[in-house]
Amino acid sequence: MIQFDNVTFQYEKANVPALSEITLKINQGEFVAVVGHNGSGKSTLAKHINGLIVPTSGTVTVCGLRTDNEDNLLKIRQNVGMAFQNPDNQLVTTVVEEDVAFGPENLGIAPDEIRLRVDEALASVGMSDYAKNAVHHLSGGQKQRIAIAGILALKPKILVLDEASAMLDPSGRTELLQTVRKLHAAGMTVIMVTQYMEETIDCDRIVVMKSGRIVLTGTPVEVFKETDLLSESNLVPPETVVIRDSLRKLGFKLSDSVLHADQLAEAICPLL
Amino acid sequence: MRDITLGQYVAGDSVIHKLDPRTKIAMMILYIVMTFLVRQIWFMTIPLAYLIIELLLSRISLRYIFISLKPIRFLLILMFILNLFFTSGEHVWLDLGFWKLTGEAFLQSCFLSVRIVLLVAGASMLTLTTSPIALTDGIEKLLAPLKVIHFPAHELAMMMTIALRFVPTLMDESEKIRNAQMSRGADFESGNIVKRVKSMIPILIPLFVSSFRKADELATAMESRCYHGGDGRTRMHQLRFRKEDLFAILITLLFIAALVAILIWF
Repeated sequence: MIQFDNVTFQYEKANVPALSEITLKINQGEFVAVVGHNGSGKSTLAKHINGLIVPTSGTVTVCGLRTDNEDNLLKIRQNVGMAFQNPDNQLVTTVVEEDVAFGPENLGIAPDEIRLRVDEALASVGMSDYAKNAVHHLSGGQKQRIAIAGILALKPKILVLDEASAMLDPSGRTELLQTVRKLHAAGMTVIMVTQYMEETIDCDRIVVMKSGRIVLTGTPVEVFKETDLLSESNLVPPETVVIRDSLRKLGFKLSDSVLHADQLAEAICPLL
Repeated sequence: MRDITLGQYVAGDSVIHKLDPRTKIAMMILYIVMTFLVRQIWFMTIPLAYLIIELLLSRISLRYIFISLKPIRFLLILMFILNLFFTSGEHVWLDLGFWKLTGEAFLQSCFLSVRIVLLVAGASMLTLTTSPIALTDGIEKLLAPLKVIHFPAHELAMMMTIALRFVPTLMDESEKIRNAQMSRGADFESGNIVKRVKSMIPILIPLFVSSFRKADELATAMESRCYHGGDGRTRMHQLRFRKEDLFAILITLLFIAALVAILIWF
């Protein structure tokens, strides 16, 4: 569905490329987490998916459309919804439902159809009761859900979250993650860029980035085995994995598939 | 202050509230024409009657009208006094040698004050009964024909929408910056006016920088949501010109016709 072919990208006036020779394929219905430390190029990677950034060399193809062709951009952005870090800076209008309608309005969809899409989108992020509210009275987590509703109203096939949880408090982050998981369960392809390793445990695949390159990719079980490589990339694995590994060093036998807190508890109990 | 986005809008569901914003803008323009047609104070009763009918129908408390008149009270007093001094006339009420108070001057002062009060009150009726969002939509639609001569009607409306959206956000931001500077020992409260204005600089510069960053991020987000200008754009909330709108405009025109007839007659 998304195909990166040998993508290199260098910002103007920068000495080193932000992305070097990235080749990556993301399939339909996949939930992929892209992790990396600050400046690892993970956000740059995300911005390539809907053509906000076009590669310096190499190609990005989304749903069979190349992002370096300007005529494709509108079509691509219809298919790729993107949520950003600061919830305040992505809402355009004062009233919740008007903001959700912004996307479909841009596509020139008929008013009745927009109404349906807005109601549907608000329902799927659980914000129907706030349709008429003013945006600035909402909490960070709620604003971010409205931002996602605004994206859903475009009926995209792919959802890209560019550190969308970074500015939220823990409860806002949980709200957002639950919403995203629900959407993924309903068939959405999700690409989540994040610094929080805890959020990646339930993904299908994790892509670890460092200095513009992919250093590791695999299922959470595979990735969290490589503790040394993670710490080289300045990433701290989830607490459960840290505990698991410390216990292993002490001689306890714990399987690699132990990632969740309840799995860990289950695995530890027989050992006691 | 936090609800500044709503302007002075007083929510309601009266006949006036439900009118199309375009109708209300047209009504206000016609009403202004009406007040300017009047040359004698007694005929001001006609725009006044119009205003009172509108006020009663909108069920807005008279208090809001007074609030909207408050900022112009000094201007009113000043104008009243100046006109007393500089209008000449025949009927001398009071003679102080260097200055005569004449009946004509008094009438002229009253006339101009009434006109300004009626103008401001009438304009407030528009903003009191129309939400800023509806107003923006109305302005966009009314200016749309000017697109032929490349007038950026859509861009103007979009700018107003975004400005309204970001007023509370930027107010929060300036409060944060203010607190941050105060915690570093900045003093905003003491000193003369020059010093106080100067002390605003450490708030304004970070605020400027952050609003540019916000603008950049917002532009990216809008692009990601398929924004590509006003061409081929639709709106969820359609403005509808209904029977009531036609009726309201007809009544307004009737008032103007009556006024013109009276003016010609006398």
